[in-house]
Amino acid sequence: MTINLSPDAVYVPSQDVVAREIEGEIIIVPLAAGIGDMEDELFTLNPTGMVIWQKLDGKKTLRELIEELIHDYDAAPEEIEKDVAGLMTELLKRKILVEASSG
Amino acid sequence: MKHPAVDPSEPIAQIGELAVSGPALREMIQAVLQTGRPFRFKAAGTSMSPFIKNGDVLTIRPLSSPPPAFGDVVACIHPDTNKTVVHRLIGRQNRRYLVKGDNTRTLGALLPLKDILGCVTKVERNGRHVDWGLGPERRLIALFSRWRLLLLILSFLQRLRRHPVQEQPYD
Repeated sequence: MTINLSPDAVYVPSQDVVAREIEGEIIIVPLAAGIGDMEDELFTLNPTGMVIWQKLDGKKTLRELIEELIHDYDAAPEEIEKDVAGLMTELLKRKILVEASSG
Repeated sequence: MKHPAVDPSEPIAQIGELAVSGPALREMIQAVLQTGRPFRFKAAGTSMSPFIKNGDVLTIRPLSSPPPAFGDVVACIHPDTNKTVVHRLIGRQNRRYLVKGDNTRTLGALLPLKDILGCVTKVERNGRHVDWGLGPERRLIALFSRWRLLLLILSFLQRLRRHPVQEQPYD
C-alpha cells in the first residue's frame, strides 16, 4: 500500500484506537471488530515515536509539526523529517492515524 | 508491564501479549470501555474458579442501564487493594454493591457503582466459550456465595466427579 503524506494535512489518531501512556510508554490498542482486545495486536512507540505522537493535537499540519520538532530538538532537520515521515507512514498504513478531515 | 521482542529502533513496534496488571490494566480497561466498546483480556488468578480460571480470556462490556444485577460477574476496583478484580455481585447495601470472588472465603467487599468498570459477558478457555456461571444460574451461584455455601457445594461436586458413586451390581 502506498501512503502519500501531505505536508498541509492534519493527522490525528483514529477513533478506532485507544492510546494511553502507561508506565512511561504509549500503548496503542486498536479497537478491531469494535473490541479493545489485549489478546490481539497491540503497539508501542519508541522514544522518538512518543515525542511525535504527543504532538498530534489535531490542529498542527504535518509541516508545522516538523517545524516544531526542528525548533525543539538538536537533530538535523533532514533526520527529523525522515523520522516523522517514517512513523506517520507506518501509523497511516496500520490505520492508527487518519487525516483529520476523514477522521 | 512487559512486552518481549520489541525492537527499540523501530518507531512503532507490534507487541504480542501484553502483561499488564494493577493501575495499568485498570487504565486500559477504562480507556476502552469509555469509548462504549467491549474490552477483551486474559484473566489472572483463581478467585473466580471454577467459573473463571487463570488464563481464561474475558470480554467485558461497559455498564449500561439498568445497573449490574445480582449474580452478574463484574470487573471492579477492589476497595482494599485498589486492584482491578473480576468478582461476582452478591448483594446491595444502601447504594453500594457487595462483590465477592466465587472461590474466596472472604465476606466480600462493598463498593460504589463508580468502581464497577463493566460486566463480564463472555469467557473463553482454550478457544472455546465457557459461559457457565454467567447465565440464569448466576443468581443461584450468587445466593450460595452470599450464604457462604458455594465453596462447600463446589468441593462436594468436585469430590463427586473424582469418585463417582458406583452402582451396586444385583446379586
